Amino acid sequence: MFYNFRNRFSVLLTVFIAAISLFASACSSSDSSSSSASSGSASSSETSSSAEKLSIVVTTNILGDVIENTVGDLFDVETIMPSGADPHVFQASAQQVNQMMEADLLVVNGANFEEGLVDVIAAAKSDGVMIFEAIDFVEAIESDGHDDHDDHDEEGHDDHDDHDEEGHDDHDHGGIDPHFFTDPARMADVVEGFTAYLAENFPAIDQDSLLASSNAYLGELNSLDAEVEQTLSSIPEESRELITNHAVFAYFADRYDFEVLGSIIPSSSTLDNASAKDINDLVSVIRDENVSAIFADASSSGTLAEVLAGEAGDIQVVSLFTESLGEAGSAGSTYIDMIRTNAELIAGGLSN
Amino acid sequence: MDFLIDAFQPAFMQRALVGGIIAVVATSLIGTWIVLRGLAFLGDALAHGVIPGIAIAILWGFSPVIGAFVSALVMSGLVTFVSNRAPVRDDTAIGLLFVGMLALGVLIVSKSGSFATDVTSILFGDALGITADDIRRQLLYTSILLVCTVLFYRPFMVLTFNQDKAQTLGMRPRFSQAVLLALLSLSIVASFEAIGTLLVFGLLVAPPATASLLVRRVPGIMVVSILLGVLAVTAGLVVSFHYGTAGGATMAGFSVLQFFIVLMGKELIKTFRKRKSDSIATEV
Repeated sequence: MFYNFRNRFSVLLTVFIAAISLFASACSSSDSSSSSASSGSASSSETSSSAEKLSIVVTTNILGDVIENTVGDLFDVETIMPSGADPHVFQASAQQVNQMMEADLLVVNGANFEEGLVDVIAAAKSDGVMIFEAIDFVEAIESDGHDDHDDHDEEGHDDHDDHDEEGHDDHDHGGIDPHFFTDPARMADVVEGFTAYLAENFPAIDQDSLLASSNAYLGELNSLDAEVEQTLSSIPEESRELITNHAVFAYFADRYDFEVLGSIIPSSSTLDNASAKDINDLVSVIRDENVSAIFADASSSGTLAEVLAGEAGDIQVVSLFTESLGEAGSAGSTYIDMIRTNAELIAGGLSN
Repeated sequence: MDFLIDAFQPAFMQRALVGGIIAVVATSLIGTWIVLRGLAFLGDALAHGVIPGIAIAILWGFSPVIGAFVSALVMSGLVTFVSNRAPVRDDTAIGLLFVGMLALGVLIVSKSGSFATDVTSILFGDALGITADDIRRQLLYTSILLVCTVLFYRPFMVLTFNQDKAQTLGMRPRFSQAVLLALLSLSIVASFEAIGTLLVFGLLVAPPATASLLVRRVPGIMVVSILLGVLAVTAGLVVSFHYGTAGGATMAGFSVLQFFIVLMGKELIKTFRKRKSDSIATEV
């Protein structure tokens, strides 16, 4: 009876294998046909340009704000992550993935900043969605641990122009720090790169108004850069030292001559844990260097920062907008406000 | 009907559905034995046990799937060893190694911070981001699972329902147990890279558990479990598409919801029958 059972069972299973593989092959062929259909419709919509605006979908809300300001109303810009979302853990719904897949252009931060979307972005790439990766357009900084911050100063920030050759075709972002947006000058590089990219890939759009709105925003970014420089000038040379919750301020430090003394959590991943030794080392660094403030993220809890502050004595914990824009109406609801607010808070924390 | 057809127009949705269905087959075949043998906790623990293997694989530059599989094998081997040799219950052995492997994983990841993102993105794969290559790999692993399930059908039956007699029947229960654990590791590894750990758990435990409420024979449970899983995956994808909910969590949620619906249905029928027989009794 057992054997009889087993036979019927194996027949059933074989039917299942056959059904599944049939389904899979049918699907992969319909895959290619539907993707060719969609690319066909994309090109037809390009030729009949003015009928409907092309869509740009942006993953992070920081880049979303910047892109929206850069292109004005030439494109439909949609942002996937809501304000306040933690970009490292955000997961998209099928609806949002659909938006990304159907975009005429997908803009991502890159260097694995969008951890929860890595799979989806890879799938979009292999489906032939046009992707602009912002990190490719800046001079990147390696994020290798937290004990070799001293050699940053030599490189300085006077070589912003000659970086385009190096970083472009190498897509192995293994050890690259993704938080380039803490430096408004690098963000300006991205805006310039993006404008050139649009002009090259979408020749049908109105180039003059694209340049006009992009230049206007570039002007704002440049004066923001100058303003931040001005705000930070109140900090004496010997106090230009940052201790942060996550390792997010490497680009900011590189731009404005700060030294990152340490971060409580060495990298910014969810799986990463601080070690007791790291925290103890940081406490002695804070005491030796007479640091007056520690900076935490507004979007994640700063328990460890509080512990550190308590341990090291009389210092304050200041909350910054680091990885995500604040809610509408808050001091960090646009990219420019976010950078300006952070600069003021940092100046306030380190000046006294 | 348009509601359904619209959702599966985009190519990525079709891939998610195919990948989900293959994962359902893989997890239902093994999940049935896991539920009947009472090994659900081990399944849960194993998916965390793969973290050190993945971390080392990325560090040394070999395939994370191999790293995960070896890691899962080591963990299930140690669980078997501890529960055979030490006077503790199975769940204690599992809990011990669960924490041990997880701690080892976090240690490795934290020590070499820079690649932490890669590990998380592998651990939390996303059904919505499945590629044709993922599906091909899933098909390979699932075929291995199918063949092994047919080959080891009798040993597993004996192991599950007649363990005491297994030795005398010459079925070598320890060997079958080891094979079952290896297959469990394979089904987890085969699925999590494509669809993420949360959904793998959901599918490993929930559909077979629901099926076991409805049918009694093992092949029946497997088939019903596959049908229930396919239903949960389809419904989850459609809801995620139309209402913008997170994909993996919606599918996993539906498979658990099915269990409670079936359970409540059975309870209702039971009370209804009881009341009926009670009223007949009072009439008489």
